[in-house]
Amino acid sequence: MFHGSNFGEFMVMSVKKSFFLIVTAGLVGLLSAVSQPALAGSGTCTGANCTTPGVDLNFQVVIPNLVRLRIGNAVGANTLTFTPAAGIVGDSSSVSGTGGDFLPGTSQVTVKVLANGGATGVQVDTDVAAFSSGLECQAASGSCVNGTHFIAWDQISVAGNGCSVVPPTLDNAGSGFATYSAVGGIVNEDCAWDYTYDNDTVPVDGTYTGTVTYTATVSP
Amino acid sequence: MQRPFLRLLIISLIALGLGIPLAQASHISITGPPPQLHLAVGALGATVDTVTFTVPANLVGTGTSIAGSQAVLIEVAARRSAGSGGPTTVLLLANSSTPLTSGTNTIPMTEISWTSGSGIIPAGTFNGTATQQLFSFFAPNGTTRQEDTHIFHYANSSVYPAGTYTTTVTYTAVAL
Repeated sequence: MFHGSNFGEFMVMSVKKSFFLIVTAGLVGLLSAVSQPALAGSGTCTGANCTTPGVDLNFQVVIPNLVRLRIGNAVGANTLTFTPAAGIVGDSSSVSGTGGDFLPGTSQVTVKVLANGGATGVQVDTDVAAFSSGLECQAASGSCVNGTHFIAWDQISVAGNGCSVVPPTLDNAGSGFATYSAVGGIVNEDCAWDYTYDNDTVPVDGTYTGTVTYTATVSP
Repeated sequence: MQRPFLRLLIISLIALGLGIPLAQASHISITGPPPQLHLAVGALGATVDTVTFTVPANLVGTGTSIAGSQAVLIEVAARRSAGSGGPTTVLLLANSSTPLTSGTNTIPMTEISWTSGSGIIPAGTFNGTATQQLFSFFAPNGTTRQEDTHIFHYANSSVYPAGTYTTTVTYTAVAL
């Protein structure tokens, strides 16, 4: 219970104390602003035409070490189909195909060979081990007999379109390869391969299929 | 009634003893607080913020934009007064002249762009120079604050050798 005079005294003291606290806090704040070491991320200058101290922001880009090989679609294998007309079978007139992803209606496929790990180069090899006798006759597709009749892989030619290196050739031994030299630690081939059927032989009629598997190996 | 007189007497005696002249003020001049310019980029702390772009292996060099690890708040505040300084124009500059570097390999800073959260400090791309002007504003008397949040992007337009590339961009604010 406050008496009148005591309450008044208390109020005055409170006001004085508040004023003191405000002034003290202000001084502490000002002093700390002046004497505190500059924090990263901020800068202040004083004056009519001043420039703040530089405020830094770091940037970092992380590039992974990779080897990438793409032949045809990014996902899944392309099937290239060559259909020689009856009148030209075996006359060595080159036959273009269909099913390529690079240019619709053609047998051109996308080729990307990429390596950025500082290697001297990349070698792309062909593998036809599963079809080492050539493209194989499909059963009941015509007069040809599955397991008996084949078309040699070297009847398929490959030409580069915008490529820096000649594409690997195809043969039954799977001996074709292409070597890409690194420039500045990088191999980056981005072009298209165009496949054609040479049509130099007269196979037994039917449908022949086979798969070529390409692999990329980094040269140390 | 005696105590103020006594206090004045003591002060006068001390002043005389120290040889301090007792000047009589004839004019009082009060000016405003000094003009001040403040710049903050990212979080305040002991270390500088780092915006990291991690390119997935299947996207290297494909041109797919890679977003930075964090958004960055940029704040510019100017205090002006009629007594000193007065209204002015404030510029925000960036020095991005040092490319991203990993050993002997570099990535140009033109690969780094940003989008703006509020549009106050507009979207743009670093130009690799020392004095790229990002934006300007007029600061009248009083306190003016401009702030925006930037989200940075790596353009990923080329294939670069594997590595971790780093650099520092330095921002400054200038009162003209």
